[in-house]
Amino acid sequence: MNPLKSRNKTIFTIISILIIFALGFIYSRSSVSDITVHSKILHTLEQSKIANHDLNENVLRLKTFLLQSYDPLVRDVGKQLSLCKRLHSDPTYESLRREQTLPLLNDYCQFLKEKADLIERYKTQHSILRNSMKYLPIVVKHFSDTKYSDTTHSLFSNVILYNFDRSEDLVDNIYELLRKLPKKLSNKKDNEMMESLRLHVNLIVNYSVTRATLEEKILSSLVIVKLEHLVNQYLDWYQVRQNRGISYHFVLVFVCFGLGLWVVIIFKRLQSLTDDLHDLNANLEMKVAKRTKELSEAMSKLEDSQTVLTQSAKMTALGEMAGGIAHEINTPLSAILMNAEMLMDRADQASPELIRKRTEAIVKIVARVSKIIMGLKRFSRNADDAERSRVLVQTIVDDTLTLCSEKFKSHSVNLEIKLDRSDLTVLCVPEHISQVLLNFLNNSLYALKDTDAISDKWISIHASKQDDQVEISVTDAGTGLPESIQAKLMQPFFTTKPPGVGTGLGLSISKGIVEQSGGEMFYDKRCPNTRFVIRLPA
Amino acid sequence: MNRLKQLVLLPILVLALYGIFYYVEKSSANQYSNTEVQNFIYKSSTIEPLEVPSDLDRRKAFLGRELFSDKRLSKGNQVSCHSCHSFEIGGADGRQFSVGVDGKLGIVNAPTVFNSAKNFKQFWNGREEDLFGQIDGPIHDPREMGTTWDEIVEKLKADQMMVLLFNEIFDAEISKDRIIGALVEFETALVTEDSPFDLFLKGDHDALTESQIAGFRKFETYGCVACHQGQNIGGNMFLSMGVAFNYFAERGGYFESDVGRFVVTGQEHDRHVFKVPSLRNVQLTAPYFHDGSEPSLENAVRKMARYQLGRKLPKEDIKDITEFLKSLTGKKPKILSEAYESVKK
Repeated sequence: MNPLKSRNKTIFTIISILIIFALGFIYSRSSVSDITVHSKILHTLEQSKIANHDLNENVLRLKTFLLQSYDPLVRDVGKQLSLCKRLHSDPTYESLRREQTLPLLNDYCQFLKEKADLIERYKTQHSILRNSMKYLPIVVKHFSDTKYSDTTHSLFSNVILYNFDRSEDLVDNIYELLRKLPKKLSNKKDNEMMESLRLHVNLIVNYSVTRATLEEKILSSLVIVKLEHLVNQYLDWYQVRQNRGISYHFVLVFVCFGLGLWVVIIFKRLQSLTDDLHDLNANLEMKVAKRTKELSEAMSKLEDSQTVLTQSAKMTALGEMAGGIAHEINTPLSAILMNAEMLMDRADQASPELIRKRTEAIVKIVARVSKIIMGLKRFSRNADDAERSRVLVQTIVDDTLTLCSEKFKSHSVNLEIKLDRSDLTVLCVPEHISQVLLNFLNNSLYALKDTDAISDKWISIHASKQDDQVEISVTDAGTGLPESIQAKLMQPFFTTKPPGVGTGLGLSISKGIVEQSGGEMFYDKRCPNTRFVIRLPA
Repeated sequence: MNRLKQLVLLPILVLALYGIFYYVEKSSANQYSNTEVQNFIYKSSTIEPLEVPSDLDRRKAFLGRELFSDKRLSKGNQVSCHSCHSFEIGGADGRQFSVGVDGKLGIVNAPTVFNSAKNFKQFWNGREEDLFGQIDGPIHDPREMGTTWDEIVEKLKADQMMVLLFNEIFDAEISKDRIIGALVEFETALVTEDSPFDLFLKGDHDALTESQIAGFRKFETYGCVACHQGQNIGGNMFLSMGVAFNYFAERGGYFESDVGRFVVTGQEHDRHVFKVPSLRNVQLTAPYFHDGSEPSLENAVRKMARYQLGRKLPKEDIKDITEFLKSLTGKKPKILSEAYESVKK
């Protein structure tokens, strides 16, 4: 797992946002409504019920004349209406004004208003009826001793009956009785009373009908039914919401728990990853240190071996020379021996001239041997620390040849030396350049000595001045080197000689020596023969 | 043996009887609690004495008192509430129709402001539920104060004294709702307590004269009390003008205001229906009826008996009832004579 990949990062962000949204949604649904609000709503609804109950009770009291004042009615209606208004506009009762309950609430308020209107009318009818009912017995009593006594009495009882049982028969009966009574009476007082009787009987008949219908309407009003509906609907909704809230609550708790667990796991994982990273870092440092140490060790070993190798190359060259040197010295030694023996044999008869001639020859040969040994000594001296100096090319070439000229002779190889000018000088450590030249000469000799392909065996040393450099080349009769060998020519340890014969370091060390002296060394590809060139500063 | 039986049985019998009596007594005592009995009596009483509400905000009421007499509440600073609801003339103005801005006349008689908070609805036709709604009426009526709330608020805001008063009392700036709040608080305090009749109801039987007591009996027996009842002796129901006889036909001609509550509900049965007015301080609030057509109280009683009760009252009864009505005149509301400073602290 690699949480730092940018694609993974985007996915991670999207998932986080989705989770947050999901959590928000669940949370919004899980909110359980405030219990105080709920109880307030229920309380208000209950109060409305009680107010309605009181109102109905007071209406009944009114009907039975137990209630004289309308103030309690006014108070009850006012209270119920104000409760209704509160349900309608107070923000506390917001949950009563939702889609399902609002029509019920509106219904309830509508019915309540209708009921209030009915009660207003009922009060009016009730007052009028009450007065007329009170007055009627007085009128009837007025006529009790007259001839209208029976009619008025039965009229009165019919009216009283009509108050309880509003049947058509009774109305007919009442009007029939009214018709029986005279329109006008001679006595002024009687006449007034008769008018009053007619008026109040009519009033009672009219108003008791309306009052009764109003009463019925009020007491059978659907206000309480609507209120019950509202309460039930609200409680249903509340229950559903509560249940839903609780279940979402559980979901929320579980999701939170899961998320918490997930976060802990991720955290743990991250921690272990960082721990690993720490370990890796620490290891890395250790490894780097170790490798560096190893490298530097290898470097120093390499340097050591370089010097060893240089030395051994030198030794090899020496070894190669040893034969030559032995030969070189052996020849004069045998000449000395020969001269000395001759002198010894003819010691008695030798002319002084002969003695002089022979001893001269011996001295001359010894001088030559001494010169060879001097050259050898000079060559073998480790010249690493030697200072560069301006040296005649002639001297270098001569010094080199003293070490090996005999070898060439013995292998019948012609050595040709050609210097453009005898006063050519180079700036170098002469021993080094001698070593390089010796190396070239040895290589050439090795290539030529055992081959039969080349009949005319020669080696040519040529020196010339080019601008501010001196070019010294060694060319032999060979026909050049194949390209595959050319490429690897200067590599260390590359050799065409059989194992044990060459180290493969000769040319590479020579190249290093020349470049150290500020010059260059290369194999001349353009030459048809095998030709090595060194250029040194003049 | 028999004696022994008697000795044992007698105490048992006595104990059992005692138990039964105890039980009966206890259960009957439980049937009605004291408060229930009191409630029963309270609910049956027809007229109750007036009481000043105890939960008044005196400071608001005093501000309302200032505003009540403030002519800036009308167009061109011509009239104030007090112009038509004078405290000297029983909370009304003694005119048939009140004079508003630019000398315009109203179309109904101005009812008294005293005890008006106890009316179950406001205006003759009951078109407003309470005083909060009532105030808008005269303020906007071109025949009364003919102004707007914006104008009033602007005028009052120009007065540094008013700004300070509102700041002190409401801790806020002047606004329509606060002006109304103060006015209603003041009007709620305008209760005429301790009328002789209230004192009589409270148990002082010397508070009324013989004639007044007789008048109260007749007020009850004739049935005036069927509509004029409750704490305000009226003001808690609607009734059509002219139950027994056609009042308007006999008075002559119809006026715009005669339709009554019909304007509000549009129902035919509400035609000519008016709020039954309070009879408190009726002695001071002549002329009478919604049309202010009757200047004499005795004639008013006579007319009411005819048109509403269908009765013809003898002269002495009218006189007694009038005397009784005079006993309904209470003391001037305390708030009118109290000094603002005394409450400020």
